[in-house]
Amino acid sequence: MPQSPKNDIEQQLKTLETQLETQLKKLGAQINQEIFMQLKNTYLGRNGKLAEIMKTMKQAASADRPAIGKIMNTVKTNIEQRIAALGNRTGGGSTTGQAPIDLTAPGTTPKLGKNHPITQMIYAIYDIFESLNFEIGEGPEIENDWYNFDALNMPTDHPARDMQDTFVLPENLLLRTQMTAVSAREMEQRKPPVRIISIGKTFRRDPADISHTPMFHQFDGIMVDEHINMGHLRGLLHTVMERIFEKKLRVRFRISYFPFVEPGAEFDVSCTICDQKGCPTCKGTGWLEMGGCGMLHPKVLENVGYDPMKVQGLAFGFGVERPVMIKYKISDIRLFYQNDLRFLQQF
Amino acid sequence: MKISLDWVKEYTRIKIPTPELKEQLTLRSVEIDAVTDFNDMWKDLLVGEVIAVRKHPGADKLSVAKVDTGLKILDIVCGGRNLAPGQKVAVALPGTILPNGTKIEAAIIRGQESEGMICSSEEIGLMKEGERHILVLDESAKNGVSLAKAMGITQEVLNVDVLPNRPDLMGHLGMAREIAAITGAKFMPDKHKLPKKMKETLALKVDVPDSKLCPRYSALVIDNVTITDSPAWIQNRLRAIGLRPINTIVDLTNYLAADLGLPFHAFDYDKISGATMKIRASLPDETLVTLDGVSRSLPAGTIVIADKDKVIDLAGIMGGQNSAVSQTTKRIVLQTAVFDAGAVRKASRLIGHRTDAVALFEKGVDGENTINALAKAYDILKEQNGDIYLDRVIDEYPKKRQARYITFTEKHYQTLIGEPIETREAGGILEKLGFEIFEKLTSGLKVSVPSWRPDVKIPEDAIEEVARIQGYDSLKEGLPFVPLKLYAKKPMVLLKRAASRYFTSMGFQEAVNYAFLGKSQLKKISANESMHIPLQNPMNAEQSYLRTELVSGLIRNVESNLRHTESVRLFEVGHAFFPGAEGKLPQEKTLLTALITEEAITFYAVKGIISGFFTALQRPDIDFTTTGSIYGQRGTTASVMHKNTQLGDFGLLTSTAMKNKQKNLNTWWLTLDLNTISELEKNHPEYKPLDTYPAVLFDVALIVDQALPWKNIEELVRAGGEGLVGTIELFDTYIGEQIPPGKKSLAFHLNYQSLERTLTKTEIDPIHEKIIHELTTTLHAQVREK
Ligand SMILES: [Zn+2]
Repeated sequence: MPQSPKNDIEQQLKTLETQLETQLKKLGAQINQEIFMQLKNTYLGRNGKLAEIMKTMKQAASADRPAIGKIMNTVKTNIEQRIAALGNRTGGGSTTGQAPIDLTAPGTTPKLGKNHPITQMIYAIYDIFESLNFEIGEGPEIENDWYNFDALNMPTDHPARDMQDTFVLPENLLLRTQMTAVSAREMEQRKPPVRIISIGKTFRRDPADISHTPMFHQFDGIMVDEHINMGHLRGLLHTVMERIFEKKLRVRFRISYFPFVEPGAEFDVSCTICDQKGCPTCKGTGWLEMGGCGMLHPKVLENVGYDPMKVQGLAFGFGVERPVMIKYKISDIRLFYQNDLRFLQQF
Repeated sequence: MKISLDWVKEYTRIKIPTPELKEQLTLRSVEIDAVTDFNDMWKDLLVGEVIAVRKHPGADKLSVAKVDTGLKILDIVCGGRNLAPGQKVAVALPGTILPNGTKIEAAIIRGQESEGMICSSEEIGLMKEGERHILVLDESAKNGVSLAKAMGITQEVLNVDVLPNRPDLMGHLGMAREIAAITGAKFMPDKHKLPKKMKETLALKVDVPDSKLCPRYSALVIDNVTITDSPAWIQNRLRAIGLRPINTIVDLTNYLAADLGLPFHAFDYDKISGATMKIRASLPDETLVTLDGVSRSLPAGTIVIADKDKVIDLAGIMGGQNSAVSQTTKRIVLQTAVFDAGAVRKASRLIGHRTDAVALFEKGVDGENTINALAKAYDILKEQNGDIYLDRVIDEYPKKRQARYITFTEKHYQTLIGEPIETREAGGILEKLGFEIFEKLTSGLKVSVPSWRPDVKIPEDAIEEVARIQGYDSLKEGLPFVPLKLYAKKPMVLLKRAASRYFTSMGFQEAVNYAFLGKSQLKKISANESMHIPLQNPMNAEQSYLRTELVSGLIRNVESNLRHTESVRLFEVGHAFFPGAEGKLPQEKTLLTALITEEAITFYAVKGIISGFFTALQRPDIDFTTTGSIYGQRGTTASVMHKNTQLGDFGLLTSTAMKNKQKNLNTWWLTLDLNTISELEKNHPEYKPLDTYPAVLFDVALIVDQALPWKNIEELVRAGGEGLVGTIELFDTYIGEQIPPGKKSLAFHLNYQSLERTLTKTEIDPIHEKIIHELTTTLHAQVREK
């Protein structure tokens, strides 16, 4: 006897479920993207098996339809869930079963943060100087005239005070214009022999352009002992710069004037970009200016409580941004302080 | 400062090619930042003679000149107003490229053919000498000769960046001395003497009440002067160093300043009323119209020269119009004086006017040389103006310069430089630089310092002189032997690095912002500007205060980054600045602030980042309390505490502080006070034996008041556990439909554990029941069925 449409449909749905289970059992772990898509089409596609059965609904008595609809929905949900669960096993770049590994598909990287390129350079410089048995110096960014100028042999009327335009604060205070102020504070706290490297923010009233920002960083080092001389200064800076740039370099001293050193010099290294053939970075000279250095002026030694008849000191003060810019070929210093992730995450 | 090598050659021979000279000077004396080679720059320019001039038929302002260029006579259309027949002019033939890049071509100008160009001074890279004025050369110039040769500018001009300690290099004479010392050439300064005979008919009383303001005042009163154009050689030398020739007297003062590094000034004698000059500090409300036509009110302390009635000169800065030399001047006072460098510099800054004279004075001029310089001036003037005569010499010099002696020893040199030197060699170098050997010592010298070297004061200065001329490049490099020392690391240094490590590993990118901010940023985070230290001289409104927090800078960074990314984690470590209490210095704190903008980040996630930080530091004994914050949303903010000390805070930023365009994004901040944290004592962890006996596990779900802190439950459970409660782990908090309003459901794993034995259910059940009972009675918890 012919079955009623209702029973017939229920039967068909049940069969469909069993069919799927049997097929899945057969496949076992061999599920890949291709098989997954195939299953999905066969069972759930527009012309799939489930859709086929649904078309027969019209033949059922209208009184039976709600009941059939309910069964139909349950089965549909079951099948959907079964197949969706398979999909989870094949998603993303990961594969299971026998699908080969696709080396070109991206790995799932955990979110990584990095230090600012300036901080990275600061840490690298600390590490170099600590390997050379230097101590790390720290000090305030708000300074007074004494440590920023007077102690460094720059009395009020000294023309050198005009070389740097200073940000002035109330109560005769200022934002430090050089890290040598910190060196002076640290020296004062100790007796020779001392070896100190101080790195930090410095401030000058320069409008921002591609090579100036009102705030920048300096590293300032001093070494005071009974037998320190200018040859040591040159040797030390040569060693350190080669480590910073990870390259063999030529170096040179050029006469210059900084009130806190005597003799004083400007320190240049051979251009790492053009190998001294001349390029825009070295302005065609083949040399890159790193900053000032020299032997501590006897006045400065006296001002921090040392006896200039007994000890000499070498000193240098360089920018931190400059080596970073040279190393990574960054042409605009302002990028460091715009904090654009597209920039910061490159280093 | 521009230095013409033609000029330098008057005093020394230049033995090396210019590129080498440039390098040697840069290494040993002074930086040369540019070299102008006029021969090259003007290689296509030549001298032409204007034979005839006629009006351009088609243009009022143009003429057509017939110009003889030696080989050819050309028709050239010219707009120069001063064009006249007989003039020698600078001609650019078709094909010439001018210094400014313009290429000259033969052209038809308004229907008239032009076969080149007659140049103005500015067209060939010199100072402009007049509106629509062509450059007129000396009549002795030969037609067809190259322009550089005709003008006597055949050598390069150096652009010298003179260091502030070297006033002696501010003139050609000093540069020649330096070049001679470096190259080993002979230095030949010229000598001049004032005529012995003076007329002494023109009275002039010079009064210097305070010699501190004016240590030396020297001047000549010269009669019967004719003001005209200077001779071509002076004009061309001035042109070569970037100056504009004006007239006999102005050119003379400019020439001598560039020659000797001494500022000169000339007054019209007849404009000085009462024949008196008083050099003094300005009085309140005094003003002066200076040579440039600007009326200037004089700040207190400005050094001025006044005659009987009025101020006539801003000493050391600029002369007054009321006493200036004019075309009709007959008698002049030619002055070169020494004014107090500090006062000149300060006045110049307050007035906001800097001149070449100021640049000379602030470096320190050579007061010993004034009379010699005036003698040279007189000789040069006499050459062009044969019938002048010297009326009187004024020289107010109450405190003569004391000779300064310095001891140089071989030993000191070697100690400081690290290389040996022989006294003989060092002495030779110092003598070349103008030092005089006063006494020979065993392995050393006592030398006197020349008056033009105010910077040389101590033995180290003399050592530098010798070392730099020897060449720093011969220094042998070495590293010193030093006693090793184990330095204590500063806690802050260690903490900053640990913090960096932790936050970068948590996916935060480090940012660095300026230490200053502006009102708009303060407003955004509802901060009060009066709590901030103001900069007295900010460059712009956006940088007018020192920051007291790191949040506002990072907000800007997050906002700008959200334009191209969906989520941001940023942190910064830096100083925040707080005004000191009455009479106290301001305070600086090192803060760490992090901002997170992400979907689905919760209070507990941020709290967890903070807890994790302290765990990483091995300082886990921290606590949290609720606090408010000006930029935090109510009910989302909390403080990080250690006992009663606040270590930081965190919370969700208000929508004023941070407006997220996307609805589902929130921005949380957290701030840690690294100063306070660095002072905390470290917890030294102590080993606890691992649990070897199995635990008895219960899952408990409670419904409690929403306000009940988790901590209370945890404490109660532990207290009732008879020492057998192991870990208690909250794994779910739920508020929703199945829970009565005002309540929350908490689910946690509760482990009973002993380090000594295996616990049995019969042993634990009563304890557990007792705890549940306590929870229901004391905390009014309702146990949820599983
Ligand atoms: Zn280069």
